Amino acid sequence: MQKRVSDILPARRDVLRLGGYGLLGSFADQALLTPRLRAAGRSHPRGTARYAVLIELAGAISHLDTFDFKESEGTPKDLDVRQVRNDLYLSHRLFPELSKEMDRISIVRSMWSHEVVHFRGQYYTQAGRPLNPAQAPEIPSVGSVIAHEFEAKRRDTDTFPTYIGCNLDTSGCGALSTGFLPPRHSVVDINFRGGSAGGDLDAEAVQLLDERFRLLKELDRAVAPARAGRGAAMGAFRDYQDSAFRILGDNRWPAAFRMSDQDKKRYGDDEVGLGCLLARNMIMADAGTRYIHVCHPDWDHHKNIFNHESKSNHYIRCNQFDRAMANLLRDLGSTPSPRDPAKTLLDETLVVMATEFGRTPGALNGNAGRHHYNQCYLSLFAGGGVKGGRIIGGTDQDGIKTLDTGWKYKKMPPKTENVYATIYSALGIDWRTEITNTPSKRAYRYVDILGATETLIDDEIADLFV
Amino acid sequence: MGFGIVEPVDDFDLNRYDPKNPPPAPWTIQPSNPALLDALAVDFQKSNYSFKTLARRIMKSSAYQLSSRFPGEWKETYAPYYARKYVRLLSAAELHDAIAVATARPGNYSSGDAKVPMVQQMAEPKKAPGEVQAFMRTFGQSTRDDMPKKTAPSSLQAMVLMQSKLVTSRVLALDNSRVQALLASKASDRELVNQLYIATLSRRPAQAEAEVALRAVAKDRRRGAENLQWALINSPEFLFNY
Repeated sequence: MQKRVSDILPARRDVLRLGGYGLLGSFADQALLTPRLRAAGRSHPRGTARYAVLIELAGAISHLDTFDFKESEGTPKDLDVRQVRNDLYLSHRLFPELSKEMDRISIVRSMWSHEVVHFRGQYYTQAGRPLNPAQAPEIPSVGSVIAHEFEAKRRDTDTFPTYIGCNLDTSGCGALSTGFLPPRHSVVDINFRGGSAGGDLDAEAVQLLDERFRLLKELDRAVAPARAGRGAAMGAFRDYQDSAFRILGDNRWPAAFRMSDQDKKRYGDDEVGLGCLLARNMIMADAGTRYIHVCHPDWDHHKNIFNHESKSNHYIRCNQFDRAMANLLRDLGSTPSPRDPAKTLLDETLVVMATEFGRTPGALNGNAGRHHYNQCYLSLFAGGGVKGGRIIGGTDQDGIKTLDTGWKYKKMPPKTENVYATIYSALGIDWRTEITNTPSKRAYRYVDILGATETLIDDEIADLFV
Repeated sequence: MGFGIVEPVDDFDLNRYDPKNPPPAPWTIQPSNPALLDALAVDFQKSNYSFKTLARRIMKSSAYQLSSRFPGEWKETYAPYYARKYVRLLSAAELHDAIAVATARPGNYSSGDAKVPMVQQMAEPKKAPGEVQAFMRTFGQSTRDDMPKKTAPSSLQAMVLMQSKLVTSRVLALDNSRVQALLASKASDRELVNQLYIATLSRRPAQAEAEVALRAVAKDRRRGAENLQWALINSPEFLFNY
């Protein structure tokens, strides 16, 4: 019987050990093969989640028209706001599906952002810290830190990348690099808008790939001795080819991209719908992917935020997000965990909605839109050990300022740093870890305490779990 | 050269340039070789600011012509001194165009009012068709002007090269592709293999490679030739400048 090429390749873990550090012309990668870790304090990660999904509403959702509803001069007449629970009013026009799922979801209404412009805000959302241009080239995205943390836990059967992105190339700052971490912790960013979505190889295509890859390897071996000593980059690329082949040849990969018309209809055939559907499939495949960052673009409605004629408005974006997140929660919540029959996949998956800031409260502006607003905004959390149905923090009657931070730090509203501390905690990662041997020699804390204007609290939002 | 006399190349600091007028500690002189930088500048002025002359001067230098192989143990700290040729992945546009040339399947892209065969000839590469853009983004072509990206290779790039239509459709014996023309010609198997190597890697195959390639072609001439060009395009030798 003919051997498949995958049988003769070293196991993926060995490939990783051989090293895939290929950052061209950079000093950093070699020195940092083994990041030196130090604990910057004590944290007690919960480890309640095996997976995390971050849905980023890029451009910023209006807090006061949605999950922190405040009637204002700008409230359109057709929002169909109804009471969901004692303490919660929600627009059924914007969220017909999520309004049925609010017992699974907790809202943090007291968020505060360092940023008020998108480029910096979206960087903040991906890097978990404000942009420092002097240091930016060495700062990894949070997903890459998670990939780094989980590397030792990968099984030989894990072929999928630990960190998957969806539409990150549409973010103002693009998909961030791995910074000082080796490039093998890079995001594999699937773009649902440009059409390069992972690829659905049928049996014949897999056979052809197998045949071609075998030829590539044979040719490569034929001249191997002649090409030693040209530096690490070319050798590293061979390792990437091996993992790429392993992924493409694993029938779980195309299966994760196979989306039925019925599922597309439920989730929505758009960036966030397909992103959440892919996230669901990746989690169900259990093939190595642990963290998925889905970027949902085009929320920045300075004009015509509630104009039905407008090509992009809050009705459209909220409805897209609504069906995507609601169905993700439903599907994960109705699938038993293969590890623990008493749990569902949602119990093992932290799902977070994050956005870079809020939108100006009160009347709409001269262009019938809402501008950027950082003094209060919100974030949603579900699954992965989070107790649903909570509201954490509270704002005044117009959604202008936070009256109650909702957690034990009464003077410090939670920030993106704390959202990530929460994600790290749920995934069982000590978020007070520091990497000390960075190229700049400045220690990288998983959750930074250097805010734009003050020293931050680097704690998780513990109230979500208890 | 792959590495600037000043790094990063877009971060020249004129207060840290002159060794006779050094900056206060802890600042250091920025160019790795201030005398060389100065000599190049003077030469550039004397040539009436001719970039062609400057490029010729650099390319004829022994530093430029060094092999990418370094005799002895390489240390990354040697990098500023041009002690060897630096290996680099082709840029997104270079790679796309190199594939078009190797397969004899040029593109047909709009650049202003004209049609051009190569992405690098486009006035605005961002206006390339969607699949070309998606391909180039994978290799670090920025969608924005304000954030040039480092192109660290990843398994995503390898995946895209293996299955992007920009590669897989171009290697097929269709639409006047190189493979189609070679199959239609009277070329022997050995000549076919030689031609594919020359077109893709600018060299003839080594004996050991030729044996492998000939076996593939002998089994199924068309499929073998298509697979061979796919494999050559996917080989690090094609993807890297070394």
